[in-house]
Amino acid sequence: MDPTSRTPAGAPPSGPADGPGALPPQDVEALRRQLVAAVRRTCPRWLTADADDLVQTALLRVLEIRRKREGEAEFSAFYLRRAAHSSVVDEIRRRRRRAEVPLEPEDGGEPSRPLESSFAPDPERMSESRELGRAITECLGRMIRPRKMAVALHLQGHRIKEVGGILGWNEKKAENLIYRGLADLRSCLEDKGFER
Amino acid sequence: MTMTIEDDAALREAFAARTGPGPGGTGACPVPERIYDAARGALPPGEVREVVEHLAACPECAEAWRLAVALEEEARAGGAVVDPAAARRPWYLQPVRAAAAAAVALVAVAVVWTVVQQPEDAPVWRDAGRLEIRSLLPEGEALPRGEAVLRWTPVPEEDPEGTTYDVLVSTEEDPFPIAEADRLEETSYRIPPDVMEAVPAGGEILWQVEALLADGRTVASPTYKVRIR
Repeated sequence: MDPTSRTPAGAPPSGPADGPGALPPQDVEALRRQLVAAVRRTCPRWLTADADDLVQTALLRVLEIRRKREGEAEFSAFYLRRAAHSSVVDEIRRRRRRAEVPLEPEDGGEPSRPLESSFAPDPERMSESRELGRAITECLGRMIRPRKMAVALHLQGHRIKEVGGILGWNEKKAENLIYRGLADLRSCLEDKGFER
Repeated sequence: MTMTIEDDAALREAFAARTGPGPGGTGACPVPERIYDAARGALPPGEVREVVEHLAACPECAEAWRLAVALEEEARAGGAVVDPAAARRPWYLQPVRAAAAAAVALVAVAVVWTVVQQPEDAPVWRDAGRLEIRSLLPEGEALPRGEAVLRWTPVPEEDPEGTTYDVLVSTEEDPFPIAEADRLEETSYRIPPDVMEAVPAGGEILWQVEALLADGRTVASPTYKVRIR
């Protein structure tokens, strides 16, 4: 809902066909600037070289939607962030489907590390992490659904209150399920040979 | 093996280090837009649970979720800069990014997340210097249908001069906004009564505010939920 994302009528220089949904060049450029910022915050480092293409993909999607709605679509900042996120996630999936990106990069590739992060993982630790990560996935698969969901969100970095909010539970319930779920998880991992 | 499973941080790091698609391949994955909406609390709880259950088994979707959360969190913290030059500043000159990088180093994925919640669940940020928008609706109180006025804190609280606010109102049933307002100078918005006719008695609405500051930064509030009587 940034004012630069508002879309008076006009014609985009490189977007879909002209028509009622087209935009003047300055508005397209304003949209592009916002998408650049959003893609930059979302893009993993190994996709850096394609950041411009990802921006273009997101921009074309946004312009296409506007064209289909005959110029009546208004794009909020939320929508633009979502478009940038989709563009990046689609590209990650596409690359992996085509095996252009090794599932376990030798450089310790960090799939969700944003572009500007300077975090440099230790390859040995990454290898240990992946082994443990595979075991966690297997253990989660054996858990009852509520505990599985609670633990998954906990492992995603969410706090107790957030887990409750996301899953529609009160805080007490969320805390209880995380606590019990983590106990299940550790027990399962121990059975697999991991040390406490 | 030097990692210990007693340590939550090690478990989180390992969870984030998983790779590859989940069972069924990427064809079984929710579309990115659905993950984004679930992560920012814009889907009904039943659908959110489906996405969460999927990402428990699917590293790629878990990654997509983390990216969505990080993007929304940064926008809420005032990082959604319009000026690309500001976005190019080194991460260590950006407080939010610096904090995020430090958190990454500790637990691989440490993002602060605020979700669809009742007003009484409004998050209390530890860093008082951060920009935030909080609901000013009375805790747990339903809004009267004919006078549904949303209220929020100004931003920056000490000097809100020049800030304007956009408001989005939606329901869990409909992903598209039922009402929206642009560039408000006041920190309240009365939802048009005719719009409220579509909301059943006892039903809930979701609302979110985004502020455009005089210096070009934007700050988004969490998505709040309030009952209509």
